[in-house]
Amino acid sequence: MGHQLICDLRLLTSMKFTIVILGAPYTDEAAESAFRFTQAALEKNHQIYRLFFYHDGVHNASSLITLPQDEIQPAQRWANLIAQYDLEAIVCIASSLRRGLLNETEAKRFSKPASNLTPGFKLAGLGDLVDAAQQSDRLITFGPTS
Amino acid sequence: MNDKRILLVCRIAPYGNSLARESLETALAAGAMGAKITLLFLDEGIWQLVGQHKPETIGHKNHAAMLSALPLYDIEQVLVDQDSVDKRNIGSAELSEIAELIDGHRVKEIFADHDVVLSF
Repeated sequence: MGHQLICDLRLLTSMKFTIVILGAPYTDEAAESAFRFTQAALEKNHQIYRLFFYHDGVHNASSLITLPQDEIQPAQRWANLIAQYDLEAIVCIASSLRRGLLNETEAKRFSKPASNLTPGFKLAGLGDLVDAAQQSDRLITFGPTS
Repeated sequence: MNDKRILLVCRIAPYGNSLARESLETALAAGAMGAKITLLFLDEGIWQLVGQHKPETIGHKNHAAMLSALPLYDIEQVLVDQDSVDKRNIGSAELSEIAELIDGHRVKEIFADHDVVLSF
């Protein structure tokens, strides 16, 4: 027990996190909590190995979300954090296509009239989630059900 | 590829929310990559294992078809929480044989035994 505690405290000095976001912005609190956790971890000098947007979480990357100007703009706020800390932000491509979130390549491939992936986010597969689970010290999931 | 043991926890009933399907897709991806993965069905997730779905009547693909793919992807263990099953008055005969029933004590051990938890 004592040994375990010492190891954990050492890890706490700088930990490698992966953040999984399952919730859409606006509807529930999951994405908001994920953002705040990520920001707090970075401010405490922890490392974010990867952000992985899955399920309804892919909507966080939509450049078409339109809110009143005095409200938080979710995609832009994520994009600013991603740029500031040079984070890797992966949006699951299978979840995205099913929910109408496309980059230019996918929009062309499927002959869709528009693309809406905010710059800074990247579409990729589930392999990146599995890899993140293996490479990170902690993987934290933020979802409407968790 | 490192040896971290991943526990994937499924707590969502099928059809009502796509997360049930997307959790299994994650399990299959992990299996395909040769990751060491255990699947645990908990709470409402146990409905994924109850047979005789007729999802075509609501325009869905059958969830059981995805379940049956699990052994092909080298998923190490597929487990189901006995307490969750009992609370819903489900007989073990109604559950897919793909999953092994474990008691609450073993569930705790399983969480402790794994390096990473992917929670759905």
